[in-house]
Amino acid sequence: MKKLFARVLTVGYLSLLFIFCLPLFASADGFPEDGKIIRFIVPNPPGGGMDLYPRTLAPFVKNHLPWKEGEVIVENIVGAGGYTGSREIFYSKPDGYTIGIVMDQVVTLPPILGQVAYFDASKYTFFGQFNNFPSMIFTNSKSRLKSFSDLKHSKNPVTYGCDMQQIANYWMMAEKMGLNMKPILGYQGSSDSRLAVLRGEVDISTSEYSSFANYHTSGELRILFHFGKGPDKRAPEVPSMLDLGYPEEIAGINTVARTIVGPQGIPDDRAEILRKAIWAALNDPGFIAICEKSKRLEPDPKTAQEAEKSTRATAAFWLKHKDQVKATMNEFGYR
Amino acid sequence: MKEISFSGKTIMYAAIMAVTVYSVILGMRWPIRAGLFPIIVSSVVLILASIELGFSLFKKESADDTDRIDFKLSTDVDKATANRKTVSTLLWLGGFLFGVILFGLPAAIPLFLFFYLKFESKEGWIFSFMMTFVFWGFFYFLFIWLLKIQFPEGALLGLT
Amino acid sequence: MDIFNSLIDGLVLILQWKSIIYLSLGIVIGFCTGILPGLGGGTALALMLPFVFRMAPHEGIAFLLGMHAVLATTGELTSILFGIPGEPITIAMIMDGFPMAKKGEAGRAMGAALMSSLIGSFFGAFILIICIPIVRPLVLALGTPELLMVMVIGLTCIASLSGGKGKRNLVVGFLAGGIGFLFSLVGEDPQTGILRFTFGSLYLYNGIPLVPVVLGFFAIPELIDLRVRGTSIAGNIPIEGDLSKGVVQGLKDALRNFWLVIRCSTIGYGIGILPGLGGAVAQWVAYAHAAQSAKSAEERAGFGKGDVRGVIGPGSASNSKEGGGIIPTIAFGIPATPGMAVLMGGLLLMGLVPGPEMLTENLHLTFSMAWTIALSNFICVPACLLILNHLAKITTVRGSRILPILMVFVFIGAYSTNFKTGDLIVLMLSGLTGYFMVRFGLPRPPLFMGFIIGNLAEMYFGRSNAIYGSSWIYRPGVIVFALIAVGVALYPVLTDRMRKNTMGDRGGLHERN
Repeated sequence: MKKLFARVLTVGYLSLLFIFCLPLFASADGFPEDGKIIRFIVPNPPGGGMDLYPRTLAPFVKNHLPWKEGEVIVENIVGAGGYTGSREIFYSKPDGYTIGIVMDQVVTLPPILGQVAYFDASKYTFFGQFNNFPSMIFTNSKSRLKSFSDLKHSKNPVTYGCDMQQIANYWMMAEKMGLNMKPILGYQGSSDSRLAVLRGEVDISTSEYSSFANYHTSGELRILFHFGKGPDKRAPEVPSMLDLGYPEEIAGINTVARTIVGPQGIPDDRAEILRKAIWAALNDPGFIAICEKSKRLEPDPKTAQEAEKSTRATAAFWLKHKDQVKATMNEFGYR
Repeated sequence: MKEISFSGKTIMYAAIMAVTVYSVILGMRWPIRAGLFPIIVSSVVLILASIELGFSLFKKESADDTDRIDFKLSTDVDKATANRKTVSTLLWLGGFLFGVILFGLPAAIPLFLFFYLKFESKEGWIFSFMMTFVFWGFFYFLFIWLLKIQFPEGALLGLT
Repeated sequence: MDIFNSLIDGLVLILQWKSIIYLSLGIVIGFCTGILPGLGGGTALALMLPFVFRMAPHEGIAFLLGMHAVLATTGELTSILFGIPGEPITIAMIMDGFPMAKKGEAGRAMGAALMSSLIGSFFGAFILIICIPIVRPLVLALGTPELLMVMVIGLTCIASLSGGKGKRNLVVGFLAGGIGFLFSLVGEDPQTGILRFTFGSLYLYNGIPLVPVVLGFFAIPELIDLRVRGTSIAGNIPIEGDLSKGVVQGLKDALRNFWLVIRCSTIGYGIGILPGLGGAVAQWVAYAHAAQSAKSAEERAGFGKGDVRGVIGPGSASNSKEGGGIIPTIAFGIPATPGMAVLMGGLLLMGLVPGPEMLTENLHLTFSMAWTIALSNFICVPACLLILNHLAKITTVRGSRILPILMVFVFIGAYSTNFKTGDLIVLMLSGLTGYFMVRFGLPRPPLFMGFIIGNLAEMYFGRSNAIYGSSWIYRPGVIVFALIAVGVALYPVLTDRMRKNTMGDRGGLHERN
């Protein structure tokens, strides 16, 4: 008797399990379906800039999507300097339930250099951009480098604290701008190399303005120039590459672009729904208010078309200069 | 009894030596800046491992020699039973890993718990069932309902 | 005077009723997160980030930091009870805490851990407050070569972590440390970008991930042994109604070794303020120090078998580290642990930007962090004491019932940070390696020490050479740290000598019970 009871329980339990799995097989009619979850993949660990933007935006995307209920959940898929998560987004099921944020530099350069398996970043489905700011080159205020011309005419090589991901910046300065540079590799991200500049251990480092703005206003760091095309509204006195007389072709490539993308081949109708919701969320007063309060988050929303255009331009640029960058990397021993 | 530990230890040190030799060879292929540390560290490990290998082959061990600051396996169970239980535990863990790959974590957890409790721990049907249900309920509540974590689907479910 | 005002301001901010509510909420969540081996601090904190959008900075600090500060405290309980690290920063607690639990002294171990955590966190907060004026120049004075020398000190700790008497222990210890070092070199080389030992796998690009390695090495051998014994965790030792006595005993143990607690707290704080070092180092250095402080070789051999000092050392260090860890996070934007990284993200969302102003204009908020650390442990520890008896009873539950649950938790823990199958494979492989190491007498602590500081040592070495050539050796900071390293290495030998010289008067040296 007891055994029979137990068997009934087991069967009931297994069928419960089956029912639980059923939704996984169900097919979609409208998009987005009520009660579904949209994954917002972040290729970087929680807490950093790449993570805070989506985490702040996610609830607003949820509000602007045409559904009664559902969730937009941020998921950190970390690894290979952001490449793992970016790849995960690219190869996800293109049903519109997976989107993500990528850094243009990460998805365009390493695959071309053969550091990681190749995929074509220009084939993402684009939804927009949080911002696309040029990297800025800064030094300690006490440093011998008072301006760009000091940098340009430096007799001793200027030490540049960076990590492997910033090697594109080094290449641009050393090869395309003709500066006398020595890269000091092995810093763990831009905060670490910024600390090295504060210590006076290295001469310069690069980063996006908002990540060192307070050190700039307090007068501890001095900005020498930036990689953008025009003046940056937050630090208008800083010369851009164009101001310094470099060709337009190489300007605006070394940027920090936080692009919202989805896997290749999301059906147009679904992509359009997502695009609308994300654009509305990016311009939502609530989102802007949170960003303003934070001081660090500085959204400068770009539409899907603009994002697509700039990402493709970056990808095309690196493809064109592939061999030169590789040659530079070989100098450090990379093969 | 002594023989098993004796040969096992020898195999372990031999394996360590093989790995370090391989990593020295790999390190030689890299430029000096990338290869320096792998080569140095591997060589040191290689030397130390060969010393230990020599000790374990030719020298009798005193109590002082094996006294480490670390956890020790229990010795009050006879060797054959201990080995059998160790292997079966590893198999269970391996099976669980396989289950996660096949069915995904949320489905693998109740399956593993139930089968383990019923067939390994020899608990009753009702206890096994209740325990599984309670734990799975806890898991579902915390990770799926509350934290809304999307676990990757198992390989079997992905086929559809 | 200004500092004094900020100090009071900071306290007032935390004592507002809203802050207290958020603090309590944070403590409850942190308590659950810390005690479950399946949930890492970073993951849990990240999920809480959306809630801080509307909070004022001091409320957010109370909520997030309160949560973070109790993680280390409650994670220790898991390490002691099950031999499974509750958090990666509480592994050293297993070394002596779990053997104590096996002897039926879980209550005593937890009491000692809690008391040392409490003192450690108070100490950390206190030092954080009094060192504010000097800490920024201090951190700025520590360049890459100095950090390299800190790594060397860490490596010399391997000598004390190998344990026992006899020279062969040193051989074995450094052998294990070297293997850990090799493991840490897997992945992209930061100097050249070359992928080392990755065998073409993207998974290993950033190196072997910490959490599955920790759980594999330090949980699976324990689980296997539990299965082999076939008993409850506390074995067949009868535990009567006097568990509370054990707890009181543990509390007293911590107070009796007050100077050890203070020394280990200092170590924890000192390591905490070093930027970029990660959170897992302090506990091991403190453990090594505790083992060194043993008066004789026989005493030292008792470590790893349930010496209460092996619980007290890491307990105080991993909590005072919180106070120190605040500094690189808020002053330089370099968080030490994943948890701290999320905490920093939360601060950013609330409009607090890491930088010099956190030590000037926003000093009162920094002080409110110090108060939060102290206050949250002040609330958490007594709360833990209330349920300690029930927790300790878990060690008497039949092993066959608790084992599958623990296995599932280990799997969830390894899986839930990244959801990669590779993490589970790493878990199994390091579990197997850990098992064979335990079986054939290769100690795991040195291996882990090598693993957490190996690649950092290489990176700092490469950077030092790239910046200064070989002249970094002559920097004064480097020389000072090198002397400390020599001191650490020779300390056991010297104390042995001294002990032999004063063999005659035993009473003087052995005042400890």
